[in-house]
Amino acid sequence: MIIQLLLSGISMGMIYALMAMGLILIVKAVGVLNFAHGELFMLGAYITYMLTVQMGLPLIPMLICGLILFAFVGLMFMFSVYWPLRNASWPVTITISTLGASMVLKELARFIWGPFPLKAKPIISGALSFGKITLEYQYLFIIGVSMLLILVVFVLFEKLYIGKIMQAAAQGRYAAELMGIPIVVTIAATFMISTCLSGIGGWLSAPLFLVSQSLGSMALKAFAGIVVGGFGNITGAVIGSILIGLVESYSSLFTSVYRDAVVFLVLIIVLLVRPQGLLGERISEKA
Amino acid sequence: MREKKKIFKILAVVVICAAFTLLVPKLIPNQYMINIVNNALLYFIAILGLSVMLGMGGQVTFSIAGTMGIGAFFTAIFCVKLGWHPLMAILGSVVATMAIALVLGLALCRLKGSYFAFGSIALVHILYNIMLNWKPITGGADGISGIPKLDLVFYSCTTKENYFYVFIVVAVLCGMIVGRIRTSSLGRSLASIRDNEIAAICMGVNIYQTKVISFIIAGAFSSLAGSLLAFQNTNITAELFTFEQSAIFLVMSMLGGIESTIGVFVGTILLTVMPEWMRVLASYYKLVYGIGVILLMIFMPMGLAGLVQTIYKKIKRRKKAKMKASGVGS
Repeated sequence: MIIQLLLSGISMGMIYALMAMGLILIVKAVGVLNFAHGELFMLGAYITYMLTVQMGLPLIPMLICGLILFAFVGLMFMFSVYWPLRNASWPVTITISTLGASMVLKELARFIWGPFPLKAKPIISGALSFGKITLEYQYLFIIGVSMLLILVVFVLFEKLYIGKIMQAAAQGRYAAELMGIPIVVTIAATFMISTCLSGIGGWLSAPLFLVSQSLGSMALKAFAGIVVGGFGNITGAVIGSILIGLVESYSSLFTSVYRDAVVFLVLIIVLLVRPQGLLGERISEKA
Repeated sequence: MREKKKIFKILAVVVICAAFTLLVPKLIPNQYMINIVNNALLYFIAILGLSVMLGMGGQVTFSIAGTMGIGAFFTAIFCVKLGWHPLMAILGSVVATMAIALVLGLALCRLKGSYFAFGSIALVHILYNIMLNWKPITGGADGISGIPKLDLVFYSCTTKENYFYVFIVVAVLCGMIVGRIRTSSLGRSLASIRDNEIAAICMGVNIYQTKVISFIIAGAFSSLAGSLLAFQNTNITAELFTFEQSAIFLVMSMLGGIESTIGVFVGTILLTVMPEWMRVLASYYKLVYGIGVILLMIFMPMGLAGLVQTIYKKIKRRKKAKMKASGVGS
């Protein structure tokens, strides 16, 4: 029981981590909290449902088509929700605009795929069993794929040239422009990577849940993970998300109805004890 | 000149309020629509609290629906389980919510900017979970029903119109209070925090204390709205006080223009009544609404009030230019 909870907790945490990384990338690049991120995640689940169940594509072509579609959605999202507002005098306006976008995406999904929850095919079925303990392959698969993606993001942003470009664009847009970095392209790339990450998260989690519009609310856990881990810090976001996943899964030992409340209580406690998050550094504000 | 302008402004507000009060019940023939207008007024009272936090203090908060729920459930418990008089119940629930808001505020207001927003999101989820699941106190998913009708000693509400009159009086009073806060030292402290926290500290503003006070004020307004909502609906459930509701409150306040009380009023009325006008759109309504929110943020980020202000400024500038051109201005 304990080990199974550990496994499901870590795999849920990994899914939250995928979302959290996408969120952090956008926050770092353009300083915007994307409240539509959960809906992008939901759209990922729907798109992969369409590709696998409705069109019957095998795994590899499905992944390729899926990634192209995710990237396209990300591009559209950036040019409709963020780009017209990039010079807004009040940052709250972009936040509200992403709230509007979340509504739009939810409704679009309802029009295209109908209001009823859909059942996705399991990506991989079966389970390992040692005596009393059974470990389902799909959880292991989720953990494996997510770890791979987390690694890719790390290498991309910490080691490769393109990551440096993105960081430069995020740190000082004006200076980066003077250095000849194409800002539009880097921001668009950031949004595309971010939607791809959450889309894959949606694909991975679709077999665990039903594909429905309420999947979007999962983003709140990713938000919680980011804050617990420390804002603006990819490592922190990953660790925080896994922690949130574990707390959520172990809280089912003693309560079934208050699960969300427990998660958010942990969030508030962390905020009170360490407002900068577990791994965050206290950066003094500039005047 | 300035005094004259002020008097004129006050007169205009009084006339508009009076016209609104007298005309609306006559113009709206069915009870259903009056119910919706009543709800809009209650939302307006709640959003006034938000406008203290967001409009004056610049703190994005999602806690409004949560504190509104606390107020509503306190009122329901006081009335149904303890059998208090409605007036006492309202007073009691506002005081109780303020006490809770004090504790929550002391905790949450230590956080800054986005962290505060996250904290308030967490708070509204916790409160919703508690309201939905704490069966012995809040009645679980069924909520609490059988709340008596509002009875204000000398005026008892039986029809929806009665509620309308009570609500509009309360709404105007609350609007005046917020207007007063805006010009008080508290309002100025909040504005300085919004514009630049470090500068505010240097000017001797106690940021923490000011934020906590504004959080309590927001809690008081939203809890008042919650109590009145409980009396109007006669039954309340946790579903009324979700995170989504808080997000809608934010949009309402941004539509009208968060920095002006009248703007908030117009925004709230528009967004509450609009679903009824847009019945033709049927299931497309939410889609149109979402797109509308994005377009609104793009084209008039400061809301209707901001739009009016820019137009007013433009006209003024044109007039001045004209005067200069004809040589009168010099």
